[in-house]
Amino acid sequence: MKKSQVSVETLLMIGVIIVFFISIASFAFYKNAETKNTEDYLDRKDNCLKISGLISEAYSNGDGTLIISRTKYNITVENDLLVDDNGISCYYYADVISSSINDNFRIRNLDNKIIIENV
Amino acid sequence: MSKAQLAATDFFIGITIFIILIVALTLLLNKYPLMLNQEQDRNEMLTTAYQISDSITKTPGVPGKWEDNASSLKVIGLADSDRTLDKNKVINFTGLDYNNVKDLVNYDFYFRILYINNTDTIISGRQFNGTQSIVLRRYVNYNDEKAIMEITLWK
Repeated sequence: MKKSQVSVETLLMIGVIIVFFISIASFAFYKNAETKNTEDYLDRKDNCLKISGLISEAYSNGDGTLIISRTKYNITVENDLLVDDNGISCYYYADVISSSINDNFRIRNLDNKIIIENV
Repeated sequence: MSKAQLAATDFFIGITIFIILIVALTLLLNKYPLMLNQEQDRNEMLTTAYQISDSITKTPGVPGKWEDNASSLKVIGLADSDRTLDKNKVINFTGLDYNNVKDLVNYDFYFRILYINNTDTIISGRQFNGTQSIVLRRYVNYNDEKAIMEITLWK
């Protein structure tokens, strides 16, 4: 073997190391994307549940209740469901007059009917 | 055996141990999203149970006089006033079809009113037969006595 030559074993080891690191890097990339998706999902779910909780509060506190709050995402009020612009949803338990909200909004209880509107 | 061959053997033993550790770590990491989902489901169920129990014990329901036509019930409420249950509403509620109420609460449920000495007085719904459940108890007045309203949501 000449001085400038390396053994087959050394080449094999380098090959294995390269393959190994590429696999780990792609796995880390995949996990990172997954974590970001989970973070986004939890944030949206949290926002949805917060609004659902406010609706429940306004409903159970009775006529005349007014709550002002803010949403990070656009929310559509459907029949017993709150749905955000990414399709994340949660239930609410009150008689709500349907509408869509974004940014600052208020929840009013007028004669046990809940009205949600932007301000 | 040449020096290079010996180094390669050491290397492959080392890499095998490392791969085993990485695989174990990956399996462990993959369990976390599952645990997180379960925790999220549980939190959502707890929020729902809290909201429903609030609605039951503090509001008359929608429509306000739903007991006159029980099938018109849109939002469950059994209160006459704050934390005082209306006997007529409670009796009508227990007579409702299980699936209709399930559609309103979005979970399987089991509803009880107990007197303070733990004797059941009113029971409705189906007992827990699933994988997850939340039990929530609220102190109420029922039939001019102190009682406990218990709602179990399960799936």
